[in-house]
Amino acid sequence: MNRAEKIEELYLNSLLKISEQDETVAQVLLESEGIDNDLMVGKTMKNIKNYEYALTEKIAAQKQEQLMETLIFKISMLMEKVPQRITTLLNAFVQPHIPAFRFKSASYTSDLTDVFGSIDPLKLLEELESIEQEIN
Amino acid sequence: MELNHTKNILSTEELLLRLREVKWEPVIKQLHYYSLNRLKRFPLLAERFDIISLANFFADEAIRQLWMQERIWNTDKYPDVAKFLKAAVDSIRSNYLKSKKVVSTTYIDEMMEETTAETGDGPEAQLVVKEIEEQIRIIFTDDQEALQVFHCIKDNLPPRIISEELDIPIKQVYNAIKRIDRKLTELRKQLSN
Repeated sequence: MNRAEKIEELYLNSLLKISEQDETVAQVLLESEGIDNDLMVGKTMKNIKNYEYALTEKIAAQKQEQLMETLIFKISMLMEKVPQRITTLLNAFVQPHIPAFRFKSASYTSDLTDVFGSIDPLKLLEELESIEQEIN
Repeated sequence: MELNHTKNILSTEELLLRLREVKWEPVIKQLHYYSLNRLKRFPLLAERFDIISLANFFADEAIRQLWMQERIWNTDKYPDVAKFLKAAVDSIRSNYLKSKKVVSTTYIDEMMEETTAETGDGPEAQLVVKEIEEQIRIIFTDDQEALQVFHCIKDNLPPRIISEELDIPIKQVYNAIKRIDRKLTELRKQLSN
């Protein structure tokens, strides 16, 4: 690196240090480059709002997936112990919405995932946990 | 709230909570300036690219990658989100320049090492310092105000303090900074050609 480059490097490093201690300095230095801070911040904040929404949706989808996995697991486990009771429970939950539904077995998990969209999964989980507590 | 016990990596829920706590306005401004400051070290880039748009793009992309979990925030290595975002900007810039086949002989890390290595008390280091000071004096022969402001900036004094020290309006300090910027960029471009 030649001397001129070194000087510029020292200078730029100093400006960076100063701007990191004082947001106003960063703002004015950006303005001196023709950057409209209000516009820039406004646009970025709007993007951030969209990212926040996307992340919230992702969390909701993850929670829904976890809930489905929990339901399927509990149904599988309880079907080994009280199959008739679980079959009756599931039919009671689903048939009001899908009359043709007849629960056969927990191995038909894709069938279960399809129909769970039409019921209250939290209420079903509550019922399954209540049965689980009874038999344990 | 789910807790992710994988070392230092936040779960999606934890990330959302942390990002909602960030005061974004100062982070955005300082990140955009950081991105621009780093790009200015490649003056020949300005001939090929609009470096202002590029700097803005790198800063915005770093923020997007963080929120979209495309770049994972290790909170042990980077407890401060601003530092993480700056590292992200450096990485994005580096990848972009490589993709455009922009080769620079003065990468930031090399320059930082070189600058650090020559700060010392030995006779060689002192000679370098003297030469640099002489070079600075020559660069600003026709602009004593810029020279004074330059020395203050080099000593990490903020413009507000420079304004008090030199007894000039703060706007004048920023105007001097613009002149210094132009002089150094032109000189560097000349020496690179």
